[in-house]
Amino acid sequence: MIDRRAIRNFDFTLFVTIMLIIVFGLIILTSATHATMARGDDPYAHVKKQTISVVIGLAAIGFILKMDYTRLVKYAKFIYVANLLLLISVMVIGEEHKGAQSWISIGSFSLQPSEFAKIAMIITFAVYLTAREGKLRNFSDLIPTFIFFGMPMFLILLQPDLGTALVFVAIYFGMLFVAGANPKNLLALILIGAILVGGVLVAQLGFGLDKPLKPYQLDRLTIFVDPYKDPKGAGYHVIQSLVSLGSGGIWGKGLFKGTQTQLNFLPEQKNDFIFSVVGEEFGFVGSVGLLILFYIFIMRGIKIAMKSKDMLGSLLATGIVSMITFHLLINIGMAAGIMPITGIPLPFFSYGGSSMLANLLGVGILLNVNQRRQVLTF
Amino acid sequence: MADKNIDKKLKIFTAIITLIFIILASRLAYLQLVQTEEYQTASEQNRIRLIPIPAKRGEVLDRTGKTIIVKDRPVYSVSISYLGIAEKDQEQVVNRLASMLKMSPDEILAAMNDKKVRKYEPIKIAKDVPLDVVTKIEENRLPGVVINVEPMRQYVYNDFMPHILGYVREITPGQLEKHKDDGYSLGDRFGQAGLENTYEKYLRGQDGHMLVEVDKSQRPVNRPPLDIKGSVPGNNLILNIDYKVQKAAEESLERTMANLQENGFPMAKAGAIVMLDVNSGKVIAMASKPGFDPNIFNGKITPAQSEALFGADKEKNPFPAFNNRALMAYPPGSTFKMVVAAAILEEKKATASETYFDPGSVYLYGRSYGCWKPSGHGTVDLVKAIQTSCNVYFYQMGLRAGVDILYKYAHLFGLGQKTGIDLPTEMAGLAPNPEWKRNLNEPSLQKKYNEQLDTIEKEFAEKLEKAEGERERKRINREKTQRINALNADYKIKKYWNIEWREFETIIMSIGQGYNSYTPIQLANYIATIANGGTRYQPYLVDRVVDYKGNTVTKIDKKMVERINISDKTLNAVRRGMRAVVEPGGTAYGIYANFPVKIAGKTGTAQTGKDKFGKEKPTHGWFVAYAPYDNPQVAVAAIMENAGHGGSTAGLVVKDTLAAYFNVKPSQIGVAARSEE
Repeated sequence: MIDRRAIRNFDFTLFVTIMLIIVFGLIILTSATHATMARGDDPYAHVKKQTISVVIGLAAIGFILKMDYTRLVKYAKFIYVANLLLLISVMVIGEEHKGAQSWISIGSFSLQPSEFAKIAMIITFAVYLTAREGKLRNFSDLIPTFIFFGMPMFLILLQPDLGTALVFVAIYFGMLFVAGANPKNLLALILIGAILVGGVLVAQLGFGLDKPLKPYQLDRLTIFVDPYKDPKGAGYHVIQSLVSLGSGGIWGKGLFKGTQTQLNFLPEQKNDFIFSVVGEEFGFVGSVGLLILFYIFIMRGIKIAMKSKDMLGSLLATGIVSMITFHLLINIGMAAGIMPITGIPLPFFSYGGSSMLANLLGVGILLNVNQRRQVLTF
Repeated sequence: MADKNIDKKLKIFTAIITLIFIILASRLAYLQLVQTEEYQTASEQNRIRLIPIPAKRGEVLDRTGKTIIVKDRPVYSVSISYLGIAEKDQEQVVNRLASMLKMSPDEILAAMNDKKVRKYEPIKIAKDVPLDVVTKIEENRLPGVVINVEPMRQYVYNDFMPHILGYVREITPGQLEKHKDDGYSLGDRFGQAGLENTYEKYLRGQDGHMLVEVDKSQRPVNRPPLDIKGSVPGNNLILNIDYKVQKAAEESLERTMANLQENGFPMAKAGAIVMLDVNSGKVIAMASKPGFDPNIFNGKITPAQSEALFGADKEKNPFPAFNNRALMAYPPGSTFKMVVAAAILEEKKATASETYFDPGSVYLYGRSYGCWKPSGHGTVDLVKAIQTSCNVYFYQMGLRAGVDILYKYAHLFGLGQKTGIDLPTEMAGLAPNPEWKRNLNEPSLQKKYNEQLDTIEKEFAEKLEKAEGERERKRINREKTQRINALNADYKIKKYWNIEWREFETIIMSIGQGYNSYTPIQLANYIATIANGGTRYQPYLVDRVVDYKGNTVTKIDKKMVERINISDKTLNAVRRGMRAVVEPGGTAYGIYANFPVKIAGKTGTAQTGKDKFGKEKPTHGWFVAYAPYDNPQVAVAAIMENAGHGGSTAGLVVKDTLAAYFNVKPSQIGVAARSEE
């Protein structure tokens, strides 16, 4: 099945970039976890587990590369339904962790369906939009897409996982825009959304309503504007993240030498605030270096979308690019104090098997689309 | 697929994404390149803690420099760091700590929730924790729980001379504000009373500090400290107090009080004694009872302890233990008579050999004044008058001198003025004179008079207005004149008694009653001045301040307050009288009959007025003395409240204290006997 052309079309730049990011990520994860493990526990347990996820993810990429992404059309309905069922099951048998019911445990592993839901939505929405190519000019054409995205989003908001829901929104707009929806309609939608969000904020902040967001959720969302108004409470995370990044300076304090990280002042350093570890230990050089790696990766993704042989491939690549970019914007923005704290992970860095696996599936799809970009003529 | 439309859209897409990356990179540049220093400081503040190393406070030693009376003892304390405990663990940690410390969890939570506590500061939960409990806590490694070694004040002999020593306690906000330039901080110890307060700046020492790296739970990281600056122990005080004499004085006070309580004086529950070196003013002993144990100030003071110390309720506890009675003013009784004697001789109002006949009472200014001995002392000269404490003699001599001369001599001997002893609180007492009396009562009486006059004026102005006809007005004016006359007459009487000095006041002042009010230390100093030939020194407790290595920091020299101009002839006559007090026929002969040291003394019995049922209250007993008679070394004054006559009460305490000073064998001290006055 893998012919020479497929090998020739393999995007080594993208693959090497992503491998560099992953290795960097594992090193940072080691730094973030080995010093702060409880006495007696394996200090490298997290890195080991994460490495296993990477290996599984790479195997999954190998598997994906074997088949043609166009065959996804056949499975789209199945994927969509399976995704919904998983999201429903997490409501029923899921486990709560840090205030959100997002995990299903299988043996010693726990699965986070919302991470896979993003990939599932990218695939199924790409198939859906391809089928409606050229029929997206009117606003009324968009109404079915509301339902299409609305159902899984609703389930995710129930967990509640606001961050992932926002990623959905990013994927939705990114893909619709490339698929040919009227930009005016999209702008109108964004405007309506902004008015709704603004209305909620005004109602809750200005008039003290405690719905739909609970006060602590609202605090987390708005504290980044002025974290020093509650430096020991809601603002603590942001302040410590800023201190970590800022104190890294240009060259950083050195691997395993970041005091914020090693002495545990930086909260959630293996998950949401792992970027601050990069910034503290490798400084501006490290953090911008990582940004550049991600930028190369994203640009390769867009190039793949451009060169795709069909609309489906373009949309798949667009979806994945939208997803990763949005993750970067929110996660790094949060670490740098310019985005609200929504708790979404840094792709390929944050500790978590589901996220790593889902992102690597995305990489696999990108590579697949790239490999099969030329229409076979024989 | 080369769809131009898609390409165009993806280019817009690229632009948006590039913009996002530029925004993120710019923000990082701002944080990491521009604000670096600010955040580096914050990061250092996070991880570096300045742990103060409290200095060992100076010790207090007696005059030998060998007996340690107060010292610092290292104890373990347990604190909780708020940030060190995750919210979910808090309950568990508090409960386990509480059970190990045998405290209630609520106590710990209350300390943790105290509004004054800043969240990053460890909160002290327990002090002076025994080693086995400390070991147990260490083994359990409870998060956020910190164990420190810190010095604690130890008053070695517990309730020994607490009034002199005072106590230390955490600095109050007011003191912190006042001493903010002296490097104090919240939680520091500060001398609150006694020598601990007066000599705070010498005793405190210099705190050191240690820079350590801590993790998020504020636990020091297992690495050597980044920097250490050792503490410098405070300086020690070497007192003039003689441990042995002081101890004898305190024991004698206790013993004598206990005896008296069992023998008809149930309220003999308080007393004081002061012994001074007559040639310097050094305080050799100064005791006050009831006493207390300053060690209790290391912990929480219970309401019962507070009541015993400060006696908010006068009915329940008329003898607050915190008061230093050696510095409190009492009527001096007959101990004042040497002032009168010195005054009349020195002012040539009488000679020592001039006599009066005492038939038991004397009729003066329309009233009879009795002697304490109803049958009288017969013919007395000055020496015999002092010896027998003859009131009749002194009434007349006092009148001869007049109040102004009496006041002058009382003042010369330092009575009614603070002595300036090196303790934070001392009462001045009162040597009265006409001016004092006038100032005391005239303004209020005058004010009241003016008010009443005003009322009358107003009342009649109103009446006159309403009046009809000339006759009516005349009648009203007459009435008004009558009212004013009555008021004036009343004021005249009041002025006569309450503003102007009256002869009877001079008479009772001459025997140490009336407005006279002096402290035991003033009396001791007055006797010392008689004994040393007329030099009044400022009494002082601390001889020198030495650093922890033993080098003298400050030597405190005797300080002469006044060299009083009084002839040896006069002083000798007074001294002869005082000597005669303990010789056959003297009021304290019985007490000192076989005492091997030749002393001179004077008894005093101060009336304290009537109780609410109109019954005479028990008198305060005084005794003042100096010894040896020929070559005076020490002067002593003692009082025992509500105890009866001076000799048999305070006289005994003075005797025991002198015995300790002169190393008199117990067998030679003799048994308690009754004194005459």
